[in-house]
Amino acid sequence: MARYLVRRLLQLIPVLIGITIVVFLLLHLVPGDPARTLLGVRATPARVAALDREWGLDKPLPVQYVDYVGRLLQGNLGSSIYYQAPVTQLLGTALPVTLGMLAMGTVFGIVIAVPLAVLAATRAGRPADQLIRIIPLLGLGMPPFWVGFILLIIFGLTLSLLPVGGYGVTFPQHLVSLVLPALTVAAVMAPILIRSMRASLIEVLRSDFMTAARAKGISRWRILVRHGLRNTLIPTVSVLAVNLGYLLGGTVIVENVFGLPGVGHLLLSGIFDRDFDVVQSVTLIYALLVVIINLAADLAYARLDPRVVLGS
Amino acid sequence: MRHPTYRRAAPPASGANPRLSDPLARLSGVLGILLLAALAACGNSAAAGSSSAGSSGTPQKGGNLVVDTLTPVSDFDVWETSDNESIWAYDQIGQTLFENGSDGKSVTPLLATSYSLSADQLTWTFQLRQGVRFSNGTPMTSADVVFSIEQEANQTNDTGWGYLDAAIKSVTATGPSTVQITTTTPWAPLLADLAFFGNAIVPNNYGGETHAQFYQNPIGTGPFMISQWVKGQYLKLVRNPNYWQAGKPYLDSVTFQAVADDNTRVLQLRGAQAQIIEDVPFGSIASVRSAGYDVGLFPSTRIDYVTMNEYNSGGADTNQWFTDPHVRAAISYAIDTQAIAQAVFFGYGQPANSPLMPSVEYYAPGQVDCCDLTKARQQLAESTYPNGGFSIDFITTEQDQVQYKIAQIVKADLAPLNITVNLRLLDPSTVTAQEQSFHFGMRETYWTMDIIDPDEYLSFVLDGSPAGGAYANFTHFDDPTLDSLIAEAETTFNSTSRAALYAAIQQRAAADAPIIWIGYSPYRYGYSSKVHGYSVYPEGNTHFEDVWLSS
Amino acid sequence: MSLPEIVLSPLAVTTRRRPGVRWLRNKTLLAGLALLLVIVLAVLLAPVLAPHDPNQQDLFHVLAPPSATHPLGTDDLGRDVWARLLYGGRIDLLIGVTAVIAPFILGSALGLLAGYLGGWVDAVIMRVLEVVVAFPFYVLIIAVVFALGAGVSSIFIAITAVGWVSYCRIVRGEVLVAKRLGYVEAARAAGLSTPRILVRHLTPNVLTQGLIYAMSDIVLTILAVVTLGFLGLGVQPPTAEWGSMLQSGYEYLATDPILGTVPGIAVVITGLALSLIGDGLAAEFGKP
Repeated sequence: MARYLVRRLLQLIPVLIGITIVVFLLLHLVPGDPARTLLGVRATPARVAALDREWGLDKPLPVQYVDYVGRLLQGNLGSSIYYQAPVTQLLGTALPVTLGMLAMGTVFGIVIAVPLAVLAATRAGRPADQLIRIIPLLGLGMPPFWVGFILLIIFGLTLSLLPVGGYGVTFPQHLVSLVLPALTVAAVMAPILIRSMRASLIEVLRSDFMTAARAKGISRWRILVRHGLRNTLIPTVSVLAVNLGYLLGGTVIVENVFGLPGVGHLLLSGIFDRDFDVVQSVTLIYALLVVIINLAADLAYARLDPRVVLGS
Repeated sequence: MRHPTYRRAAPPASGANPRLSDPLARLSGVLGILLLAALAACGNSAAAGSSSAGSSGTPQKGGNLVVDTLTPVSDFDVWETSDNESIWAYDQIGQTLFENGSDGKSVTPLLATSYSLSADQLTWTFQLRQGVRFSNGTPMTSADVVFSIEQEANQTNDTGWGYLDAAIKSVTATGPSTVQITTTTPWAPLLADLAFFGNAIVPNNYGGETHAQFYQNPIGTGPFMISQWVKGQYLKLVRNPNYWQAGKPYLDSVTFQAVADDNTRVLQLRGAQAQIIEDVPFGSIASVRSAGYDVGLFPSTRIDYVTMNEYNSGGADTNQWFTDPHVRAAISYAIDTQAIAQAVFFGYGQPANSPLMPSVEYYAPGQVDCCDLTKARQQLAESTYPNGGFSIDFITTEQDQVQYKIAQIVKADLAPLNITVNLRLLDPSTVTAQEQSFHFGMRETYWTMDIIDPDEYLSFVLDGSPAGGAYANFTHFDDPTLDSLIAEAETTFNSTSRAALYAAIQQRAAADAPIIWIGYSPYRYGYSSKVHGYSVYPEGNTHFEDVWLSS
Repeated sequence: MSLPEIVLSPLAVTTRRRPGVRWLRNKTLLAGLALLLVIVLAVLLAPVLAPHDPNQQDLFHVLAPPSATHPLGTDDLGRDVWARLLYGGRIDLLIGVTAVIAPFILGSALGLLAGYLGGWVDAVIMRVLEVVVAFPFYVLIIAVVFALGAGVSSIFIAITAVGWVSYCRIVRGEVLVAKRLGYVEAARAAGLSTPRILVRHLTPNVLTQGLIYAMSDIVLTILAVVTLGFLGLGVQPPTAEWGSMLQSGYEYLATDPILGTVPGIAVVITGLALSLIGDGLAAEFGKP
């Protein structure tokens, strides 16, 4: 396992380098004088000069890149012009919000998806299954932020059940504020989960193993729960990991709809405020998150499935 | 959707330099002073249409108020911060010598109790209030006042607010409670300038910190002090135990929470997560009211207008058509500001009839003629483009719905004149950047007054000379007569003469039509019935020390 | 046909079903095609179905509820919502379909190179792919469009830069399968040139797999366009487009929910149609 981990980490290095290159180049995509264009309204001669100095915009590109990586390795993510604070500080308060929403959303997603997937798999081919199979088809076409609208209308306007929007100040307030956003994330995640879980559950139900166990008299439910669900865990984890990029991206707008001060909100406001260090660093963080979670998923996959021979 | 506070363009690069022009009779000068003093003294009495929330009942002490704002409180650095949320929050912490009156047309003494003006009108002597302390307990002295005003006037940030203090020559402490300010020329707007948040009184030498350090966690003499500031999320202020006004503030704390989405703010009010919400969308006012909440339509100093760029760069982006006054007049007539008031402001705003706003001193109505397609066609016929036939780039952003909608309406309104308007959708910062580099045809923007004196605004928006600092809101419109009228008005103390000058300025500006004046609209704040003593002044600030919550 | 050709024809080598008249009995595919047909007809016949000009403002009747003349009411500038829905559909569908062409071509070409040439070419392309995949879809699209400036061409560039990845993977996978099955070598041994092998024998499978994926890719692209429109980074006003309709609809969610819900429903229905087609095609041509 350790050897596998080390190998994977080594394989990550070119990817990490690639990520920093892309993020670095984003700055240079902007047409015209980057510092001046970026600062826009705030372009005082002093600031433009400071920005030029900070990024060494007059030096050749490779040198600039090396400097940038150097700063990254020292943990310097730059500072926000709008908030007059280091980006690490802003991320420190924003990351828990986003991660909290994702975690809660994943839990909700699983809670929604598992029963439906089981129902569909055990009634494969029958009306209940047909109905449930439409969910992924509908779900793929739903803009994540629009799902947020619908939830807002139902729970906020019509029922006035849950507090909507904002993040609150105390921890209980935080939790309650995350419910609707998490439901939105779950609504995006569930269709994907249902589809893959259903498929692998059906495989289990039709497998020889299943027939043998039934022949021994073990109840269908027991097999399903003990073995079926465990076996779906593996492909589910990998499906989640594969779609992680898409899910994370969806959270960006969802945070906006609900006014959550998370990383996505930082990104969008950084973009509209032309707060470049923020945009660059947040994009980097997103990519890192995806890479880390994929790695964790791979390791979990390896742990869960004894058939996977590590390092082969 | 995120609506970044639509920040006004940054203050002009070079300060508005007062000019030494017309000499003034000393007598009328003294009369002017007396008139000003009289106005200042009775500033609070005329509540010109400003409503205030539930002012009946005995104020109860205690309570935690939550205010939802459009954007987060981002930056207290008085040299550069320009977003309203930061400014209005800072108003609770730092106080100035004078403050804006509730009618928006005068100033009342705050940290100064009285003042006198020398005969040559160049030296102002202020008496400071006794018994004022900073929130850390240190007494406020004249040394603090001198330092505070000097740091704003002498700031190194040349695109900051320092230009408002440009007329100040020196600030000295002539006693522990007296401060003297000399100006380079007789300067009528000085008291208004001193009421500006940038001139708030801070501890001498920032209490030992650097400028940047201080403004990360500023202290002042105001009713509240900072308790928690999570940048990007919320700012929590708590009662200043050393506040000099006995019995106030009533509230234990005020929390400013950033909620960018209009719907969410409304829902937070209805869900009692916030007791006051900023910027209720015009279209939601009716439904918020029918849900049992109040929406205060406080008179504001906001005016929306559309600028037309006359900059002749000689290059591909030359806008030669706007230099023709008949073209400008034709466009002015063609734009249906009444329809805009209906569709954009939902009837809660009115078409603009002057470059100035009703709640500003020296406002003279009836200047602007509008909404007449026949007259528009007549004007166009007399112009160098009798059949229209040109196209204009209108830069706008979807982030500001008011701007966005007005842009689309302008496009539709100019089509009958055979003028094509191309809408260029950009992000808000790019819009401002392009405007300031003169790369645009038209744009929509607005102004809300920073000080009660009309000089800052009119200089910015009409003065095309370098002294104006912004090339007439970046249009490169320049009428030397108008420029000199503006310059004369800022050194005139006699309020009758000043009124006459500003009337002439408004009339001329309306006739020249360098800018299409669109409409006035009120501030829209939603609040629950538990909130009392709440009102928003025409400059947009609120005195939270007067607010109390009932249980 | 020469012997090598017979040996190497897809029928002989693969276990996939060939298209035939069977597809008419594929209910999923039929349902999807029918739904798509309805949608396409609706937007094409917009002038007939919605007599109002989608940009015609009526400033004194904004946010009107549904009525005889305005079946879905009017928006915040008094424009007919039904008309804007149909005309907006044209834009979204058009961009959705055309924007996948470039990624398809680019991705397939790179996948072909990676799979066929192997070695360091494959390694480099796969690393680049991993880097692109590391960025969340929307994040990269928003960042690129923001940097390049709002507008349709930026959308195309952003989608291409991000979307080639899946086609690359699919094609590379097909090429590797073909290599593993050995018939590439066999063909070469039989004297067929490399390009001929690639084009003639790999293309059919590649195209069908790509087409299946393209269905969901079009949905993703439409979602991206709609999201960008919602953020104000998309199609220029006053052109009707579902995303910008949702943007202004969001403003009035409390007073006029139709504006904020109907364009979303249109996106979902379009997504449903395309997903049904994709699933149907997968059942026909997909791996057993």
